[in-house]
Amino acid sequence: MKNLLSVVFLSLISLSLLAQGYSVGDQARNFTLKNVDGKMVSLTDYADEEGVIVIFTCNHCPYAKAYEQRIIALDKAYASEGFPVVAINPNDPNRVPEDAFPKMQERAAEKGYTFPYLVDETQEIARTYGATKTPHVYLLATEGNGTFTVHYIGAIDDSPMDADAVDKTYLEDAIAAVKAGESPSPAETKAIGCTIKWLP
Amino acid sequence: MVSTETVTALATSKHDTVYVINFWATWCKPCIKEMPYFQALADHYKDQAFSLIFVSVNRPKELSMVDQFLEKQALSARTWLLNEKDPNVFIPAIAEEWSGAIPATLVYHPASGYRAFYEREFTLSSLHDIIDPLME
Repeated sequence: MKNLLSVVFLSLISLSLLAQGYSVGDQARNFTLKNVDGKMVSLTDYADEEGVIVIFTCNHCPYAKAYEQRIIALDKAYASEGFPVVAINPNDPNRVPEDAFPKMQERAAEKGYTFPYLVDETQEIARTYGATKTPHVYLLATEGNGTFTVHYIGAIDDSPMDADAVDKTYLEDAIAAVKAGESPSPAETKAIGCTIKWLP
Repeated sequence: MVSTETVTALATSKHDTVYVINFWATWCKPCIKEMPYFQALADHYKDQAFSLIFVSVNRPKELSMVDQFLEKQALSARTWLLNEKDPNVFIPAIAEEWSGAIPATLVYHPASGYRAFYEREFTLSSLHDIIDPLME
């Protein structure tokens, strides 16, 4: 009984650790997820870049929609600077039909996404990273040996629903800091968004 | 329209009241779905030391949109619109453990020092599960 209890206790601890997700400074694990073009995309495909802007986002969320043009603009501005965007949709399509894979394909085609829009079917990546909402940004930088480190977590900027009222470009400032070999400040911000629709 | 401080000041209120503060927005479907459950809870405790406040995180300039939305709803609880812009400022000020997703709900019982924060969706029964013990 004592052993059983300690097993239960240990598994509770590891669950709560998992729920924590990444902090700035952590090494980000690789992922291999299906893109809207049907091909698989891995984080390690980007080993030759300076880094990757990983954005957990989706079709249905009003905050994600409000940020969509800004995400497209980020890729246009930063892919050539060595920081391309990789978008990941973690939502359970049974809970939100608008976030189903065919709808992701439609959306990416309609808006002319210049970056991968991946589906995290098992939600393992969202859980490991610690994403809780859409949109939720993780700025990763390569370490030169094929590994990636988290340099910034949180919001794209300070004006979720109004692109014209942005005063603080948190993510762009973080990219500039990383490019300059400095630590982003703030390195973490709180982003508002829609709760990730977890699998039952 | 209220400031973040107006919300957090409820925690130090002198009233022996259970405050349930629900954060929502007009464009948040799961928020709108659960609002009637919060209202039903408030109706259930209407003669007791219970106070429900809906706090909208819509943009301040959307005040009229929030008003129009509320006119169509059968919600009698107090509703505030947060007069703040940057979520990175108001989210941690309201609740350090709030990751930023909505719906979110804060429960204060200042008399006993009780405080709880929930970043999840509720049903009427799951609301009773957390509030009933505080009302006993």
